[in-house]
Amino acid sequence: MFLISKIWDDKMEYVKLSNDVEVPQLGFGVF
Amino acid sequence: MGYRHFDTAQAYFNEEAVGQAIKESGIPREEFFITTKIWNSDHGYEEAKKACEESLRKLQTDYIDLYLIHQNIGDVFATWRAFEELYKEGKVKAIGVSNFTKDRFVNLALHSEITPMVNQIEVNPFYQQEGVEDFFEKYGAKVEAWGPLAEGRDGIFQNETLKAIGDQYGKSVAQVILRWLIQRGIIVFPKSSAEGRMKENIDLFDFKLSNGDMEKIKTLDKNEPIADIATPQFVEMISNYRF
Repeated sequence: MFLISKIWDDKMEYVKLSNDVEVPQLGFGVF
Repeated sequence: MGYRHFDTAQAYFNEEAVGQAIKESGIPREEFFITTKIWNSDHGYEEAKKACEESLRKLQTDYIDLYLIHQNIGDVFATWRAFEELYKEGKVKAIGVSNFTKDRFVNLALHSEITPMVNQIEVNPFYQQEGVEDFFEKYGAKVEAWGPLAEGRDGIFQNETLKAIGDQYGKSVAQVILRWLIQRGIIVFPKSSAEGRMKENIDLFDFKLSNGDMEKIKTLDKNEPIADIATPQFVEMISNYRF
């Protein structure tokens, strides 16, 4: 699947949820 | 391309495809962040637990990173009790809701053991919901935006204000909008079936909008949602949706 590459964008920004789980701020909506 | 965060749902019929793609990628599961959502037809304590097992099977994984109640329809409290247990069992790493208005979110938060950690709602330049991120932050919840590009409506990609802002940075209208949301602390899910746009949409982390740009974007708000979730008509329509 070309959406997923071996190289993660190391500039990605994250937000932390209340339980300290980190979420990448950009996701892909597959709707 | 670098996407590792996928927003799926029972109702989108995409769990199996995403699960298969992740498996075939050869990249360790823990490098991905997978969200899925429970549909209205599975509300209830037992039903929700069963639905989670089904999603785990389809996604070919033993945990979900974020599990959301897709719509505030039906017995969401019973579902939430199941979500709290699934969270404690480690089958889901975080739990939240989607399409909850502020008052309904507060109702669930105040009458549950665990406050939803996320609310995924519509936010875009024509429906900005100004300050909504601060409102939910008071409850320790983050906002995720669906429809960030307003589904291309009202000539958004031709909007002169957004184009002029983008020109300053060599970025497209879509990149400006997504960056604006990211700078508000909101999590975004653009969708596109065009490879070029998918690449463009992820290229957001090498520029920053100025405060002046953020203020200019504020002037575009029409306070017009794509889906007006707080109406009886919406509740009737979504309650009757079966798949």
